Amino acid sequence: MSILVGKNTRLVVQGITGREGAFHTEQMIAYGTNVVAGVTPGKGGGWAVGNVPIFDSVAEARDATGANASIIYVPAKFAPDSILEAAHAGIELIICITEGIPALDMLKVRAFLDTTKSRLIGPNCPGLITPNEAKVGIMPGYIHSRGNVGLVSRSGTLTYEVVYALTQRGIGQSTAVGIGGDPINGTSFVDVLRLFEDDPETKQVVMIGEIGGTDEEKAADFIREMTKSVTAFIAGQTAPPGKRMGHAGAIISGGKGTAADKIHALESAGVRVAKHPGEIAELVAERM
Amino acid sequence: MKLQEFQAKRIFGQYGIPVPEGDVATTPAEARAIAERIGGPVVVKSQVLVGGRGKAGGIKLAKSPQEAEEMAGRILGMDIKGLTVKKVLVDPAADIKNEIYLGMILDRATRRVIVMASAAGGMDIEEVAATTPEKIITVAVDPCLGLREYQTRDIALKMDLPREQLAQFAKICQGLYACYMDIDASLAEINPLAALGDGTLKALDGKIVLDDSALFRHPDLAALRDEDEETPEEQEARLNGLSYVQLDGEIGCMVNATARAWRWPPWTSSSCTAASRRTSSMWAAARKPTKWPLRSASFCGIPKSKPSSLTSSAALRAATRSPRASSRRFRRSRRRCRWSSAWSARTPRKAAPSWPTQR
Repeated sequence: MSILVGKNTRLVVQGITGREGAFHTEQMIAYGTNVVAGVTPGKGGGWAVGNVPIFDSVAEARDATGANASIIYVPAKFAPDSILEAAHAGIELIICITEGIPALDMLKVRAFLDTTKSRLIGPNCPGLITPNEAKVGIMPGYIHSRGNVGLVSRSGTLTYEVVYALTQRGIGQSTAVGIGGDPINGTSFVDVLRLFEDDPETKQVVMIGEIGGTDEEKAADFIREMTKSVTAFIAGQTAPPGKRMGHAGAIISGGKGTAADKIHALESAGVRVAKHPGEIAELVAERM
Repeated sequence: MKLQEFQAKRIFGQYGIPVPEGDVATTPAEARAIAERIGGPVVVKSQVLVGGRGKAGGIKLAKSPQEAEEMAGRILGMDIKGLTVKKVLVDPAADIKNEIYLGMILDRATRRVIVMASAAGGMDIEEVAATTPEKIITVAVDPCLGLREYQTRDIALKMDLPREQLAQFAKICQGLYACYMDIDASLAEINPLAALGDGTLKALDGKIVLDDSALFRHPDLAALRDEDEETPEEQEARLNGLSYVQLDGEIGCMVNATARAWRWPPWTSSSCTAASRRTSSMWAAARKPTKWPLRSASFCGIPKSKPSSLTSSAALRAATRSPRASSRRFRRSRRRCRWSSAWSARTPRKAAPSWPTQR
């Protein structure tokens, strides 16, 4: 077992003929991911990356191949549309890698997604991977190894570092999920923590948060009820304050969202919070 | 991207929000001419992209054109929180009875645009929010439905606005929301929205922060960017698609992801304790996924030198040109840097390999 992706994942790649799309499709196939179709409007009927059939729309691709997950490598201008298209076609799991989608676009997309059964991971995320089964994203596959630690992270590259450190210590991962750092995203820490809690293979969870927002505080509340041990790290502890304008941000956050607040919230929920990323693997190893 | 007050007010004006008829001056003489045109007392307001201008002495009342000229002379060139004042806005002075706060912001927790309002607006609004949060009225706007008129009436009633101002306030709220959505703002704020002696409402200040990701849709707004507000380094970084943060130490970090950049300073400051306790001076992270060659090139150890360009090769060149590049400490840091990516593989360790901490 693992969460969200695995052997049963039948992946469609939106934007498969683009530079990033083509490159990463090749990488994903090389890792063993079951890529069943690609979508590029206007190029349907062709083939991409060897033997992946291209369709003009996600709905067509789903009907023809039974795809159940979609990954989006479409420029920010068009990505909101791609997410909606995938959700409309009834794809259960949508992963959006694209960075720089306007926040107000995501606001509407998320409102629509809430009315469907689709789950969105991202945007602005590295995707997710279940080692030895399916890599659905842009992370380097070789640093992962299969095991019992679940990872969930708002950061991209920091996740790779932690995964690599775990692998170096001989600690494998069940699934590593990057939920993305955008203000409005599809899946929150709590959503993924809940999945890990219910996953029999996952024995421990690593959570990598960042400053800003209150997602980590909400996660802390959820962790109190979790049976599995959680190790966390908060990036941005030394970030200098920007030149702030306006009061709305301060009023709405009520002074929350700083690294210190998040660390405090997590620690009081019984989470071990690492002081630097290198410590995460140590803390996980102690509890193995 | 932040807009200046005068730009924000011009945009608000286009959405039917009443704003004062002032103008911008870059010299005291211009300020005088504007004041003469307005007639009567005026307010001279520094135009810098930072909060707390009033408290820093960047906003002054002038009773006559001469005084306006004098005030403008004092404010222009003034330093407010590290920014030099290069423009002043000269607005007619208003007979303020009450100051209302009205702001809109995207709240990530509720995934809604939140409208916030308070009858206790003005400079101390944050204190009001902290001490008497019940005086801040908030309403979440459904992205599909938009801000409905009944919601604006609700806000006005909760603020105890006089009944004759209800319609005015509703119109201003609707205008501000339409503006917020149209221009892809991440913050739009009027503080104060002043209730004047004659019972009308007027936006005496305006703040807009735009969502940088949406600027591709708004070339007209992108052109409003005030390049005077950026340091040359910040500007160059932006043009190269880099996130750039200037710190006050002497170690530069060039990193391929923001979160990684965030984790560097504590790492470098703690790891370089033996050499120096200072943190990094340059902290740049490639934001664009197009900078893929950078993915494998984590680099640290640029001694104090201002890179001529923030591309990787230029930063490296700048670093090696520096007179200190030949110092032992720098060579040592370069060596560390080269190792950092494959540290655990190259360093024999008895215990299980941990993250590289330098001894």
